[in-house]
Formats: sequence, structure tokens, C-alpha cells
Amino acid sequence: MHSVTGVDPHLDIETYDPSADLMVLNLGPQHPSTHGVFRVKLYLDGEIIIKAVPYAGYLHRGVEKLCEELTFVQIIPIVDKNDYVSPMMNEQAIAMACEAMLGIEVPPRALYLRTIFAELQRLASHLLWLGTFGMDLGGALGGGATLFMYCFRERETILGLFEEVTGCRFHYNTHAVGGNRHDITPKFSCDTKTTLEVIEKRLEEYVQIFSSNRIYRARTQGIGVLDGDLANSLGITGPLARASGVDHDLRRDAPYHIYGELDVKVFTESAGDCFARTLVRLNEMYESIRIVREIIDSVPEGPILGMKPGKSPGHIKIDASQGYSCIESPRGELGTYIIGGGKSRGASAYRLKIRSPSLHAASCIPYLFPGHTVSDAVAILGTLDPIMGEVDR
Amino acid sequence: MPGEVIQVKRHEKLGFLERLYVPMIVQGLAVTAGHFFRNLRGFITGKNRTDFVIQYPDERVDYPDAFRGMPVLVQLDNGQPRCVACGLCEFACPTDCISIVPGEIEGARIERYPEAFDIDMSRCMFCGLCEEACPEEAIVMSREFEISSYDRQTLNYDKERLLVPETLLKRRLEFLRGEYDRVHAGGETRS
Repeated sequence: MHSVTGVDPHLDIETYDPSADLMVLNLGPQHPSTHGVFRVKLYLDGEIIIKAVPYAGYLHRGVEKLCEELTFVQIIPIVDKNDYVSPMMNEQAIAMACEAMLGIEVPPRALYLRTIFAELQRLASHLLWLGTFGMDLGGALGGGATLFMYCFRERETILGLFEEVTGCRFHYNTHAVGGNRHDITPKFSCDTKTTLEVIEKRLEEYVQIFSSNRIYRARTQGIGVLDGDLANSLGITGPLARASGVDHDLRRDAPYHIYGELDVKVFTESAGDCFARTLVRLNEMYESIRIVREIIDSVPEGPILGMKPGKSPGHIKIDASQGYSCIESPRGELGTYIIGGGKSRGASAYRLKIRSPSLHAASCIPYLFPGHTVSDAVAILGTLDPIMGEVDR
Repeated sequence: MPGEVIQVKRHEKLGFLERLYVPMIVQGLAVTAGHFFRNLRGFITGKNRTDFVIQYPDERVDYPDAFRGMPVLVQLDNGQPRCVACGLCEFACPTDCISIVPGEIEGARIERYPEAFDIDMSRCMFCGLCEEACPEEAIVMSREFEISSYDRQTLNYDKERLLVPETLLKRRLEFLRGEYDRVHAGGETRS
């Protein structure tokens, strides 16, 4: 069993020093720093956490079971609500799994669109994380709500871009099995470039606000050190693992969309603390901006749907067959495993399994929290960035 | 080299000025103050506005053409819905919020019509699958989305409340036709 800084995550509270001043504190389920409904039971000795037990399941909606009832066309707007900070990724994961199962070729234009959407969504998601992380640290950034408002303003411009294409700010329903539903216009590429310019300029300002602030450093450096081996054994992926020195990025290791043709830079850090995770995410934001800029002008003409469009929601039918897809969502590896040949004569899935990165991120809480104070726990939870909709599904 | 790995630079040690703390606070405040005065100037002069606050409901954002609001029924000039009660939208809806009771008129040009057409807006998620499934352009996503109410029953829209004259939905219908031609270029065409 791995242990971090000599802390036993499976500490039996009964055997703990009986003379200690023990206290049980529930962080959540409605605490703002948990970014959703999530409860962590903290056993405190004074102000130091000696044991943390996470309780998930407050946001369980049975999405996987629901997907067995609905057809392949109908599940796409449903899975939008899993990771409600980056819905594009959920749609892409499910659409790609269906395509792998059905053996549909996606036209190049749709692949370009998906890549652009994915990178913009990653940027939006990381912006939201930066804002809420500033909020979590609170006073360290001179009243963290400022950064929160700034980041939301920038994120809003990206959501505005999505709205222009898909018609919705959030639950897009823009991916279809075999391609995309909505096409971009020349205006979109123009707007995107302006937006990215503004965001890039402002990001630098935001980094100035906190990066060399001594209080910020004290709150993040050496806090919540996640060991690379532990990250691997818990199945942690994405920025969290990369901040712990794990060189793993599906965009490069198992290229999908058009990432194979792109030169995706993978940013790693070896320290594995909150500060490292911040740095990795910040660099990924710049990388996303770079990728979008690189491909926005070279989107090829052509169809965006790789199959004959069907009117009926049950027009995609398949006998027993299976498909798996994994994509690099802003939080790590988002995998979808689908088995076809379910209800409505094969128009729905027999079984669907979503491997969500947030669940794995949340699973390291018992290892990271002990030894820190409650205020540090909030900072760690902020950098783990688990989205509860995805943890519980 | 594709897929280059870059070790992020980490300035662990703070410089002298940074350790003094106050200059860094001033730097941070300079950024926020800069934003504040830029926003203020834009707000007062009304030019190059950088503030994102919209004085809703006095001011409203003009949503793009693609905007998907609540689904409504297209009303023809004779006051009847264009809907022929085929039930495709009912079948397409992932949340089962549409319920249709079909009726028939003997000898009319369009025989079938919906005797009842209810949409439970408390379940509808504005996904637009009904609009996509409709072969008659009879159900479209309007630009209306402010439908909150104090009463759950109010959200259960019946046929009379869903009917919107075609002229008011022109923007959406035109957008849909253009989008359909663009997306399905070379594929199956709409009759």
C-alpha cells in the first residue's frame, strides 16, 4: 500500500491516541469548495486532518442505466450533463464510442470541428477551474472573487462562440453519431481568433495577480503532494498525473480526431503539489489556444456527417457488438465502453460504461488530506477539480 | 518532434521584491484597478464597453440565429397547427415530455391533426431532437426561454399555448432551412 508523507489513509480511528483532541467535521455536502454535492468526513486532531473519508453519490442520476433505455441518438443530449463543465467532451466520447462500434468513418471536416470544440472547451473548463480555485483560496489573492469574475467573463466569451454554432451555451447536442450536427461559419473562425487574442492577453494579467504572491505560494507549494506512483496505481490521469511527473496524454499517446497530425506539447511537472497542478493547467491553456489557432484556418471543406442523415431516433441499429473510445478531457482520460444490441431492436445500447477521470481524481482524497489543515484541504480539493456530476453519474 | 514533453519551469525561489510581498500586492492591485477603470470608462462613455454586465431585464442580449429556446408549434394562417400528428417528435424525445392525441377530419386536404398536443416544459431540456425529427417543420425551437413559474402545472403547455404564428418564427425557420442545406449538402434533400 502506498502512503504519502508517512500517513496511513486507512487509519483506524479507534487505535488513534486516546488522549488526542479528536473532532469529526463534515466538509460538504453543500460546501461551496466541493464544487457540487460531495461530502468528505474529516477526522481532526486539533486542526490537523488525520483521516479523510470521501462520500460520493449525492448526484447519482443513473445515466448509464438511462442510456440503456434511450437510443444512440437520444443519449447524446443526456450525457452532456455528466461533466457539466465540459459537455463537449462527453458528447465526443459517446459519439466516438458509437462510431467505433458501428464502424462509421467521420469526415475530415467534422474531425477538425471536434478538435476545435474540444480545445475551446478545455480552455473554458480550465478557466472555470482557475476562477473557482481563486475563490477557494479566498483572501490569498486579494479577495479571490475578483479572479473568479474575470475568469467567468473570459469563459463566457467561449460559451458565446459555442452558442453561435450550436444554439446553446451549455447542453449543445452538437455531436451526432458519425459527425456533427452544426457547421461553423467564417464568422465563427474570425470571432474565435479575436476571443483567443483577448483571452491570451488577459491570462497573462491573471497570472500576474497571483503567481508571485507570497501568500499564494505558501498556500500551494508543498501542499497535497501526489506521488507519481500513487497517481498511476489509482488510475489518475490528466493534469493531475502530469503534475506528478506522469508523462501521459492521450492526445499524443493514442491520437484521435486530428491530434495525430498536430504537434501537441505535453506539459509535466515533477513536484506533484498544488502549485505544480496550477502550472500544468495554466500551460495547457496556452497550448489549447495555440492548437486552435493552428487549425482554425485550415478546416477542410466537405460534409460534416459521415452517414446518411436519418429522421427517426432509432435509425441507427446494430446487433451485438462493442466499441470503446477514450479521449483526453480537461480532467483526464474519459473512456466510454458501449455494447450494442439492446432494446428497440438494437437501436439502444445493451450496456454503457463511462470511465470518468473525476472519480479517480476524487479517489486520492484519503491519501492527500491527512497531515494538512482544513484550509489546505479546500486548496487540495480545488486543484483536484473533481466534477461531481461525473463522479456519481 | 511530435508530442514533445515539456517540463514546466517552476520558479520555486522568490526574488527579493517578491519576498517583500507589498510590491506584488501592488502589482495585483494594478491589474484589478486597470480593469476597473477601463470598465468604468466604457460604462460612462458607452464606447468600447469592456464590462460584461447587462442590465437585465431592461437590456437584453440578442441571441444568435442558432439559439434554441422552448419548442413551439407553427401556426398556419388559418389558425391551425401545421402538425399532422405523426408522432415522430414524441418518439424522438429523450425525456418523453411530448404527448400527442391524433385526430382526423374526414375529407379535408390535410386529414390528420393533433387533437391534443402537450409539452411538459419542466422535463424538456431544449435539445432540439423533436425539431430535427419533424418532417413538416411543424415543431420548432423558438427564441422564448423565460418560462419559469411558481406553479408546476403552468409548465405543462397545451396546444393553445404552444401555437405561435408562422410569421413570428420566420427567423428560426429560415435558419433551419439554410442549416439543413449546408449540413446535408449532397445528401438526402428535403422535399
